[in-house]
Amino acid sequence: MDHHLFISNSDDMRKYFIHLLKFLVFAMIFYVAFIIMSGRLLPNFLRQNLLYTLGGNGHTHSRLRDVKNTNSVDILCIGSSRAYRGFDIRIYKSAGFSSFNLGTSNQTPVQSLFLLKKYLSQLRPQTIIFEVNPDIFSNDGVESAIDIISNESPDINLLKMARQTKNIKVWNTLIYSFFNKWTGIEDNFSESASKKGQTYNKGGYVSIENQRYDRTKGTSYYCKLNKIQLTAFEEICSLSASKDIQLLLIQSPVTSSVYHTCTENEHFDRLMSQKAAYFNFNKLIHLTDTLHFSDGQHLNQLGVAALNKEIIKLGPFRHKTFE
Amino acid sequence: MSLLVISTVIDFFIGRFLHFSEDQNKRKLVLYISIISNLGILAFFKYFNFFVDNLSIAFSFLGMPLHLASLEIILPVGISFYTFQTMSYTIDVYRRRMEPTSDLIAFSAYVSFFPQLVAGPIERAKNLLPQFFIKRHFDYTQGVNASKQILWGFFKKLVIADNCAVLADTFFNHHSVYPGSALLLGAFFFTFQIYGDFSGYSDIAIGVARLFGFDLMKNFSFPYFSRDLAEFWRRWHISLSTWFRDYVYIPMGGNQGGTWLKLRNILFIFILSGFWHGANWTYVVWGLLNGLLFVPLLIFGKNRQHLDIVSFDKKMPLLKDVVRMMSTFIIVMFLWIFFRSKSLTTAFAILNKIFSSSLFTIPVFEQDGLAVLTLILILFFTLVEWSGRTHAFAIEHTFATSPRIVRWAFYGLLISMIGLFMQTNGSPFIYFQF
Repeated sequence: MDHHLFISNSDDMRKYFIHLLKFLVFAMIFYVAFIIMSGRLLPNFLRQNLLYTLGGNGHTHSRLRDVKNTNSVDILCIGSSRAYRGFDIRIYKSAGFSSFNLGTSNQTPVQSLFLLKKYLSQLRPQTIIFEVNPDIFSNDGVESAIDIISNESPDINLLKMARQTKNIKVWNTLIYSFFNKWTGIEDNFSESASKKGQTYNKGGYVSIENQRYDRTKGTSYYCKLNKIQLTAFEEICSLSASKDIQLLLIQSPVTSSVYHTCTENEHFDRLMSQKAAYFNFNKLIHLTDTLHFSDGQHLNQLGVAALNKEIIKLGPFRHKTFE
Repeated sequence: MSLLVISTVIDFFIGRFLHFSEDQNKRKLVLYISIISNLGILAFFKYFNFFVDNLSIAFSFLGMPLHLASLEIILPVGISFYTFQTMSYTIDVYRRRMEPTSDLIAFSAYVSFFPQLVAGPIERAKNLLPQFFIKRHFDYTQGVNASKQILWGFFKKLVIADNCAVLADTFFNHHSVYPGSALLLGAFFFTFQIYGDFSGYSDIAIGVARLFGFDLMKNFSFPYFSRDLAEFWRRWHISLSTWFRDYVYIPMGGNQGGTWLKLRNILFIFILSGFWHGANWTYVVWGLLNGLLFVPLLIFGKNRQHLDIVSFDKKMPLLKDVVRMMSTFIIVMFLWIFFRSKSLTTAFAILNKIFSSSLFTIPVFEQDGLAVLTLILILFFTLVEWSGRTHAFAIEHTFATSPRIVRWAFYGLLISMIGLFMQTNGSPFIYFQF
């Protein structure tokens, strides 16, 4: 007896695939309409995979508007909240350097790369200060992608960045954001410079009002380096090298209890050192938790001043001639 | 993989021997070899540590401490399913209810048929094996129905089960910090989680198989619309229940004989069914309790009073049916507490809290928004299931007489709901662990 593991072809199969294709087109249109309607009509808790955050955490909306009006800087800072709350452009200015802080909430190398591709030719920095840490290299980048997509005008690179995260939340936000930007519904949106105790300073830096150490926030690191982030990081290194831009990799300090929750620290240090000038300030300066930090992962203004003073003193930084 | 190959090869050749041999003693011996080798593999991989641990505890209790080392054994995926599938083949050949196949490839395909390999339905050789020898033609209607069933399976898993899982995990994993009201809510969410998860998988498996022209047996038939526990067990995990009925319960005597015999048989089957799920006393007690609640129905001859579909020709159920369905649902929900709990101590702690004054406190928890959303989704799901309860799966004939645009809009809505409401870090299917 013969066994038949395959189905014979037929007109029915052709009809099935044609109808399936038509349905998929219909379903895609339906899906887009459904997401837009949900975004407009449903409260946040009823649309768990549509996390549109116009003017969300970290003043991304203000920063991305600000950067569009900025030309040619000496220093460009990128990275997560530890970048936009850690690299104070006012200190660089007083040292004689123009700068812009393009850090965004939970920004991973994938988003850093997207922002560099978009703004590098406009800002033409001589140095990029890139805040790197194992926690952010282990992140899937979803939160940051949503933050940027909600606040940035859509283009092909945004689409590519969304594709890299492979997450339905990012795609839904992209659909909804694209609709909002396209229809101009939110053109008049204005983000408050001060919110939740954080104040946006022109040039991208965010200063915080509450200087007291909050032990409950940022108490651990998640350390399992993500391949996508490592690939994006490599691309950032290549991009800066190809444009002859000095790349400084800075690991800004966290409290010692947070730092030691990561078992990948030594591996991470080795990895970074191989790629560019790398400075792990957890090892280079001594800070006190209650004096220099606002929480486990973020410096307060005293800590920021101490860190940036040391950054300015750095060899590669000092010897670079800025125009 | 090698275990699958071993099971397949042993039972293929044993099947051949059982067919051609006329010596009844040898046939019986060879059948025992098949059963022992299959159950032996299953026992080692699934139950070895359970037996070792309990033996140690028992001897320690008797003042004779044993120092038996447990092993770090990884449970092979789908072992409980394909073991039972191959055993049904040899037993059926032994009983001369089917002829064995001479085609090792077809037999291997039957044992390892990919849609249902890891979590069922547990297919019978009599049903599935001959289908490998039939020349299959793709049928448009069949293909459309299969696609609808797959879509509904994904909806059940991604929207219902995975959202319920987040909430059930919250309450069950941290039961000590929540009041009875929250734990009752946790049990409610788990009740829908396990149904959405397992029946969702079955729908996907059956649908995928249908796309390839194979008919697999129905595994769920709207169990939460059951009017008593007996009806529930005719509608829940049908492929396992009927397996135990045909290969264990009936050979033991079934419902023949005196009351005590019936009682023994039914309790044994339920305990065995519980134990099949995993090497933990929680499953055994879950099975036992189901059996104990089933016994009165059997003794008073009420176990087959609801063979029809509830309120078959009505849109709304009758009040008496609502009461029956609700009471059955509540019983099943409380029994799931044993199934879900990590230990019996945990299960009893949860029940203690539920039956305390804390049942009347308003639960406060972080995911209250998700809970409201999930309750809305469960309501939608239940309405769709109710409207389609007379069919093979809920959406088989939904809007069947409406214009195509309406039907497509409904399927589009299901896809959109999956996209908007699914958990992005979803959990694996529960029954993969069995």
